[in-house]
Amino acid sequence: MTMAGHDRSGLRKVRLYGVLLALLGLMMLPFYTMFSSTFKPESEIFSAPATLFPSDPSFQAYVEVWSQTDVLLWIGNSFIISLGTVVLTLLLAIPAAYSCARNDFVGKRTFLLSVLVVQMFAPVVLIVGLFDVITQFGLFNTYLAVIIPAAAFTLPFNVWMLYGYFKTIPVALEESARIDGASQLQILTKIVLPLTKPALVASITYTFLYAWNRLLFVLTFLTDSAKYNIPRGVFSMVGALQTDWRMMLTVSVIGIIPLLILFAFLEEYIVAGMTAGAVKE
Amino acid sequence: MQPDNNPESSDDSIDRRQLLQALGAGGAIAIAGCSGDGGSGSDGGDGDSGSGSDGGDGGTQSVQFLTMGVGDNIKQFFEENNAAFEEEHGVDVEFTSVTWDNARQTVNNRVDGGQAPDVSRWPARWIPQLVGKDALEPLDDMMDGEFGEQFYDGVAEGTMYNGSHYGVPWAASNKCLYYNKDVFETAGLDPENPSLDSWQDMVDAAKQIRDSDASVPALGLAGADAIETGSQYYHYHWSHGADLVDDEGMPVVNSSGAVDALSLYTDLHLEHDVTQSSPLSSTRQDIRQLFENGDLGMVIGHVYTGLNITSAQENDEVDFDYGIVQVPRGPEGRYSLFTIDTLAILSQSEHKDLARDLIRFYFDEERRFQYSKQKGFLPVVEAVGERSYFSDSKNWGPFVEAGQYARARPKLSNFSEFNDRMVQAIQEALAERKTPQKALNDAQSDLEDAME
Amino acid sequence: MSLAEEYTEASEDSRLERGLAYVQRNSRAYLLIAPAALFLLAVVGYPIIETFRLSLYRSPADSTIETFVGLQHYVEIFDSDIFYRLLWQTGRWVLAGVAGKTVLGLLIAVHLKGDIRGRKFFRTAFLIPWGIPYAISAVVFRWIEHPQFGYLNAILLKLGVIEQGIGILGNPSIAWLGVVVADIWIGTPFMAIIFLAGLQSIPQELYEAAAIDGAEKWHQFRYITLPQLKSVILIATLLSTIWTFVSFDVIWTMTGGGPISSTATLVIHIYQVGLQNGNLGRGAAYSVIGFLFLLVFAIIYLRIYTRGGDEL
Repeated sequence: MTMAGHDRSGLRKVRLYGVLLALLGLMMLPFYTMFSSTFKPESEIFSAPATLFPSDPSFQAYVEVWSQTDVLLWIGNSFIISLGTVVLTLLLAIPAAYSCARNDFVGKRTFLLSVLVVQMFAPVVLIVGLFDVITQFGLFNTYLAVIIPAAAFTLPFNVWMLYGYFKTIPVALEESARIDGASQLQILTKIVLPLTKPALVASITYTFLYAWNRLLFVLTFLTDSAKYNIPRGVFSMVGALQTDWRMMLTVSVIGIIPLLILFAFLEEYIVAGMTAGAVKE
Repeated sequence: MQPDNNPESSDDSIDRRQLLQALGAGGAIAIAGCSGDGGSGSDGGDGDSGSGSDGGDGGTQSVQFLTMGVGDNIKQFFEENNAAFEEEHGVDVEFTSVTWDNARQTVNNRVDGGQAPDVSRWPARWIPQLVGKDALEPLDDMMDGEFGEQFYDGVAEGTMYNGSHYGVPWAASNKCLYYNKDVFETAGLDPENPSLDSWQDMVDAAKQIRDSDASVPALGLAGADAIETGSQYYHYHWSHGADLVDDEGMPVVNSSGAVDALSLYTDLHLEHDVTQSSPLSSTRQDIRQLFENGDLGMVIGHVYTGLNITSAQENDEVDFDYGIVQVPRGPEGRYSLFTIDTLAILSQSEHKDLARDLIRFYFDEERRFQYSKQKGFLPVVEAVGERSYFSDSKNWGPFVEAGQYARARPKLSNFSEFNDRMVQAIQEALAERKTPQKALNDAQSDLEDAME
Repeated sequence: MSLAEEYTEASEDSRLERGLAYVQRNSRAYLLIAPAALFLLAVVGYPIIETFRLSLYRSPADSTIETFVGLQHYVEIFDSDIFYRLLWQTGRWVLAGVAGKTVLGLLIAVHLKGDIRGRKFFRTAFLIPWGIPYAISAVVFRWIEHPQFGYLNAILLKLGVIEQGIGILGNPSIAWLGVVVADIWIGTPFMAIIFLAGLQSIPQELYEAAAIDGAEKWHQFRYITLPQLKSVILIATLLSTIWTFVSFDVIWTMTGGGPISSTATLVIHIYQVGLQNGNLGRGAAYSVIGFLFLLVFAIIYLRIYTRGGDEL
């Protein structure tokens, strides 16, 4: 950049932001559809052709949503399910991935491959068998009925992802710690995991959102409306003859807000992870 | 983890079938075709469990009454009447309401777990499934007697399966043809006494709208890959003398009447160009929305369309006027698709007499009137329909009148598969991938294979 | 040690001992993978085995009777036209979806890598699609593409490109594209994040050296970024292929596989046949076939990956 002329660097900037803004526009259209519709009355939502801007914006939906729906309960449940899935998945994935990265043993390849096999069946395909398992363990209608299958389907990615990152961490660091008398567990938690932060952030984000976004397990294994999460709550608003689209969309928009806050927060961590990576060099 | 104890009849397959039934019902995930049909769930959202009355544990008998989707508009009705029944009979009524998205699974769970309620609301189209488990009590003693005479014929018929009545009609929904008076006026058609008696009349009116200054499509046509596309089409099918299955339950979908019906259905779009654009994208819900916003000339819809427009008019959200006439007549008659919900008694019940008393109690004419009125459901009892509240109402009148044209879809245990295949045939014809004749012939042969 | 083992040959005996010693030496390694392995076995092991078993039976949903039919389902599937149509439709769905997600993900990652103004805003904004439950996104996309109520048609009408609303999802020839777009939208943020993480690990000096040599941006991308990202791209596309292959929510919510089954993939068909129509055995056989496809694909893919010098 230092060698580039001033004009060229300016041009580059224009191009950079041009591309970014164009991409952003594309990515935002669906979100904008949702968002703008929450300010329209029901009749305008179904006007043909659609009005691109609410003709008479109203915040009414955001006032009514709290009393008309259980949106806070659903968000709370979404967090319980997602955090539960993250904890369970990481507890299982970190040791397994670390073991594969640090040891060469018979069956490692098989293990890594068969973990991947789990992904090769659509959850919806295995749902009947999963249903048997869930009822067999007496988990039907508990949070675990959703957390456990979600953990099973996120585990493969986490194992692979962490395995890949663990491998990039020089063994020398651990050797010196071992010589200093640190235990395996101490090495893992004090030395390896901090260095794995970017990967962990990615892992957590992926797992959290997997559980956050999926409807299938909640739909099949939870019938107790007190345990509904956001997607399940939204879809419980679909009536046979009447569907309150305005409320549905409002709940969907509100459901994104906690994630936006989290994203902004996590993004910081990714940057921190980046500097950690630089120190590593 | 299930050791494979006995593959011939392993226990777990019961659980499994439950799940399949829930999934087969479409579940909430099938929002693409999200408007499940009929009287079975107009309450949408927040009808969470109602008042689970804390039944006394003393010596008093109790009767368990399960219903679905009790919202705020009807909660009080049940509370008061349950209390009255308790008083009258000196018993407890254990009343529960479940949301529609859980309804099917809840009842199945309770039946399979030996915890069936005594009386339950139950959509007629799900009757075959519970009868298959021997879980429903035949109610011929009631329906064949004096009690049964109060219902419209087509409605009473709707609770029949394998020659027996397995429930008492509780709620119903049917169809009429709506038209937009403003659009008719613009097109030079008579808005007050439109000539819409036959399909041909409807086509003529539609063409006149098409060629006029009216800026909206003349007719709503459903063609999306959704259950209700079948429901919309069957009006055409039946009125051309065609049937879906014969008396033995074998498919007969490609008769010459059927071909005429499907040709008419597709010609509306392909030949006459009187429909909204891309009917293959439109669900019944979509065209209903179009009409309710004044963006369509005609549509076949249920009573809610009128009620919705009326309330939108009151809120100044729309400003057009509409009229309702009967679904047009075909060469072989006129039919209005009826969907019926029943009150059923479950065979596990140990208080069947009391259960019958409860049903009789709720079919007191005044109670039926209050229920139909407060809930906004089409009356299933003739005497209620004849009350001026319904028969003189602009919105309700035509639908009450349509009671005489009632026809329910055949009760087949695999109706949804059957219906899917019919929808595919409709789509193939609409997309001009096949002629109506070929589309129906192929459907017929596939359905024959599937029935084996 | 049982008596019988005294009579086994010495070589086998020592092999067993060596094996035991090996496990003992690596006990910590096995102990660490054990929880994950046992968990997966307990939760998905049975459903997977059950799928294989069921594929050999006829098991209608409305009865408890299962009849052993051997490979009949497989024979009938390979004999049917619909299977080959599903393969083609699944193939184009996966190919277009993965390609779209990869290209867009790379584009976003490369542009977000530097220390640009508003980086935080952009990075957060690009993650939004990932934070919306899939079924909800699918509903929204179905709506955007709606011929009457949709924003897409409203924009095109306004620009004068079209005269009346076009129904993308109702046209059997292009409906699949309308669904792929939604799938790409949903899947892109994940790819972008993975690529961004990968980009961070590329030593900055490589770019500095190239800049000194006066290499164009495109050349830097072609000769530094891509090769350095190779393993990340390979793994990400492998996973993406698998996920796209088995994805269900988006297609099901947007089109239910229609019109005329033109957007149905293997997984959609499995759901319709096995769960909706209750033909469990047939559905299971389709599942096994789909699984085998993916397995072969993954093995070939990983072989390419390991040939490049990377170990698994």
